[in-house]
Amino acid sequence: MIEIRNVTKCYDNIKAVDDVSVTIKENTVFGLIGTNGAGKSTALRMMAGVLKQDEGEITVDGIPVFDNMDAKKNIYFIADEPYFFANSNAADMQKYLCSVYPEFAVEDFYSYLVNFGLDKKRKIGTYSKGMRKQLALICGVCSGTKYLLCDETFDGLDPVMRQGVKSIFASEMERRGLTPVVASHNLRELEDICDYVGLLHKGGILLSKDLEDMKCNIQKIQCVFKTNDDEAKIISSLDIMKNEKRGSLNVMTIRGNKAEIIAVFATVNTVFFEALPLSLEEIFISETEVVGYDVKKLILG
Amino acid sequence: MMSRSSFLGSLKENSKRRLWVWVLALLAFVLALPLGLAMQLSLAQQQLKWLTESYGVAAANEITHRNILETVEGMLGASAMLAVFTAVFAVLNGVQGFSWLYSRKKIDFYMGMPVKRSKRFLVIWLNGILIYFIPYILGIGISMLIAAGNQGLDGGVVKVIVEAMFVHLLLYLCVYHMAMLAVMLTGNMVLTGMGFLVFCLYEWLVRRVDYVYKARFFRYFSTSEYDTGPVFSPFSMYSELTNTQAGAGEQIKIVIMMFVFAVLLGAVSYVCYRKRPAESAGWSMVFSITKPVIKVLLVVPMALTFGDVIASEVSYFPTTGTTGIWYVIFALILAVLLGSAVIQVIYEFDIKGALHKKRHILISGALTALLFMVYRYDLFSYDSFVPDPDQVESIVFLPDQYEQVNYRSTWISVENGHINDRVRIGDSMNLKNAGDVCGLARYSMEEYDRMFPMGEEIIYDEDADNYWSSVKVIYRMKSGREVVRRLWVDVNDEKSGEYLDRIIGSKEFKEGCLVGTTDGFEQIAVSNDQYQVNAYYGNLIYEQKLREAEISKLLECYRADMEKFNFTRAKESVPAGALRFEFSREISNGYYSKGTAISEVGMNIYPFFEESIAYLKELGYYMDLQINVEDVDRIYVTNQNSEAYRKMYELQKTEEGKEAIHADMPEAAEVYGVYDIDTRGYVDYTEREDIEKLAGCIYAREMLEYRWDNGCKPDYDYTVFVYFKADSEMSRKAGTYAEYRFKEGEVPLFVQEDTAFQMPE
Repeated sequence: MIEIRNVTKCYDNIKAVDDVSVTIKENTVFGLIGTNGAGKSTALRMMAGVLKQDEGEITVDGIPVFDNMDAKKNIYFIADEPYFFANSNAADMQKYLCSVYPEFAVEDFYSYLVNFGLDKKRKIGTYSKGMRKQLALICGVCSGTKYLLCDETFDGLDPVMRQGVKSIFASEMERRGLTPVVASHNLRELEDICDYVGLLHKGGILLSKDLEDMKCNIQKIQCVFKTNDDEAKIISSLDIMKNEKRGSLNVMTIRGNKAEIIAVFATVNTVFFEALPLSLEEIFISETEVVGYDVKKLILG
Repeated sequence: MMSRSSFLGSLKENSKRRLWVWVLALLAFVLALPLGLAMQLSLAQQQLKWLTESYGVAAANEITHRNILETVEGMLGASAMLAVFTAVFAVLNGVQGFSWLYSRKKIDFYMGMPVKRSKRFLVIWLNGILIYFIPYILGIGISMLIAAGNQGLDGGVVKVIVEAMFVHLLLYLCVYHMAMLAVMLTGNMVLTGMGFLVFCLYEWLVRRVDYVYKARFFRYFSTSEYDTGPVFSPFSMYSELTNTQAGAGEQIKIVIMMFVFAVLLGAVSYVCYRKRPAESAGWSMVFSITKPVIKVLLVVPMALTFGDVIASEVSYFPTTGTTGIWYVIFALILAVLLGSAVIQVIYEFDIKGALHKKRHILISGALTALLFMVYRYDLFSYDSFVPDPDQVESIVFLPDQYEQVNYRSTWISVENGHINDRVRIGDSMNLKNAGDVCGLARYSMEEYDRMFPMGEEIIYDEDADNYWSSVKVIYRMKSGREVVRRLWVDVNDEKSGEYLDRIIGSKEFKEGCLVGTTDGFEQIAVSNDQYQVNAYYGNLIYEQKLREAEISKLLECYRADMEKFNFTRAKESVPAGALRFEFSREISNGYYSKGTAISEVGMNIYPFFEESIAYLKELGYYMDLQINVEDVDRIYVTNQNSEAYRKMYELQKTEEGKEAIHADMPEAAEVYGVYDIDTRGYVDYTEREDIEKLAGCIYAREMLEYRWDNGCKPDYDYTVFVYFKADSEMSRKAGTYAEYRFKEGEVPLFVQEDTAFQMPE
């Protein structure tokens, strides 16, 4: 488990991360969402032990991470612009990483290279940006570490590749309990990968929740009430987060369990009733609007 | 704890990232060095043929063998080439090894890896040394094999090579750590380069500023005592260490200094590395606290230097006037503004930032102004300092070139070779009569300041009888501090003369300044295993070589006579002759510093040195006259007639005068014009009778000239050339002629008449 407690980091006089606390549980895919400059990279670099926090504490499995080998041997950090040695090829990188990570999975490495269509002898300098990101991910996955920190790593990967990475994550999570932490400025990129999401804004965490919980706890109902009394009864009985009216049609976002909500609706007369699926975007929008943020601007651009 | 295999693996991996430096080092040491040596040895071997033709087989073989040994020593010992290679690779490895700190990408990669920072530092640091030293040893090894194949290796050469290896490793560590520190403090390559230059030059700059300002503002500052060369520079330490004149004691001291320097810089570099924030990649300066400090520390001496340049341009000399002061002040202000602006632009990588941080400009300006005023108004009373005699432990009092026989030294040290005055007097003179020296200092300074008031133009009174001679004084205070000043002493002044008699007549002065006064010199002159010593007596034209047995006895007489020596007695006398000791030794310390080092020590023999003169007479070396009439072919005397020249000059200024010249010397005026009439008088005395008369009143030039005490001096109007007979021994020893002088006031009447110029009345 990675625990970040009241962490603050400043560059000169600018606070890049401001009093952030978040817990990343093992064996989940944690998505760190935020706009450019929100502090995602800084947070990840601190989690990786590259940067030292000014205040607060970051522990990996209970061990402080900065310049601590016991903690860092469980972490592999893929920066937003991954670095590879000059004039090296994938095989050179493998040799180096083997010397640093004793549990580096060499066979898996070459197998993934084949699967991703990357030539082990080709100089990495001649790879495309996407290919370099794929190689960085393969290096990270094969390093044998428990935690894989990916900074904007999915930016630029095509949907097929993303699906491939997702399946690798799934299999590694199942096989050895890998915990990927993925930072991105685009929620849509993480929607199909993450189980748990933290939203960073202006250096601070806005929210940090399990995606399934969020999906189960918010429902979107489309209905037409027979009378105004029916509508008033529903509004008073349920935790309505948002109610849009289009003529007689009500589109309601309601916090709560789906079965319980349907049961409440059964007690009133409706002309039309339908429970709609909610996208991650909609869940986020609803959750953050509640605390006064227009999240569309933050994560959807 | 790290395992050995893991550490070696890390070294190997690090080496892969530094392959090009390995290749360069191998090219330089393993290819270029042996190849260069082979070429040089081949050249030496090629000379064998013509050497054989010129000197015969045995001599040619010996010369060639010696040349080969010297070539090997020169190339593989402490040579300029190896020093340059060492410095270049030190900078290259220091910067390249840690250049990943400039890149955020690389920092994310390396620092994200589970490798301790200390281990990473150690791996890179050690590899940086191995990249230099392994090729160095390989190259030296191959070169030694080549040398051995050419009979160019013996125990002495191997010793020189091993010593050079050690010295170069020390130099490497110093420069390597300096480059590393520059990397640790800066965030990009350009700033690192500038930082390294600042490290190399800063001490020199500060010393230079202090020197030029003291020289400009203080009249009692001893310029010759001030060494502007940096002490804490690996290059100057290396240069001192490999200096052929440095003795063993001095060398050990420098080796310790270099070692401490290297360790300190290495430690500071490591601390900076540990403290360096990862986010600093790409910044100008890594630690923000250093920004204003470095800016101010650079701007102030640079501004003062610029101020001094302008002061020289506008001839601002504060001891004699205030002309140009406003230009200097303007230059200081401009330099502070420009210097601060340039550094701020470099810090921000933005020209628009030039005038940011105005507080730094103000601080730099205030400090510059303060320092300028410290010198200008002598705020620390530097120039008026004369210590309280009670606070003085001992004093060094060294009149410039006092008793130096025509610039021959008065000192030699066998242990440290021929050493400079500063070391000599520091080691050997301990005057205890502080009251006299301080009294003379105070009196002389008051008189000098009264004669030439500070800030006013110097006007010399031609009728005054003053003669100001320079003295270096080092006050060794009881507190352990040493204070050096240059005094101007009026050696014609009666009161000064009394002080000087007590000072120069003291045993401590004689033992400190005039080396023949001590027993120690006799030991050096008679038996030492480092120098070949030749001793002569004469007037530096006529000289007799002394035998070893004679040297001891003569020095004993000299020591007895020196007890009668004091300032006034010496001043009133012309030396009858001089003892000259020639110390020579072969030097070999690098290819470019081979040959014979000769040091000379001279001692005047005055007419009142009765015992010495008696012994010289007994030996038959003493000459009553300064020439042997039998050797002389002719004596050619020139009289400058300077008084006549001055009168002629006055006449030339007016039309009446010119007409007078025309009237009295129509032919000369017609041929040469009124401005080019030669007032000199020339006479060539060839008659034996004339030569005998002249022999009694001429002196070898060296016996009369360059006297600190302004004692018996030559009549500078007259030049005397003594031409030797072509078949005489002197013609072979001294050349065709030798230069003599008349003593002032003792020019024979017939010479005056023969050479006089007839002026128109």
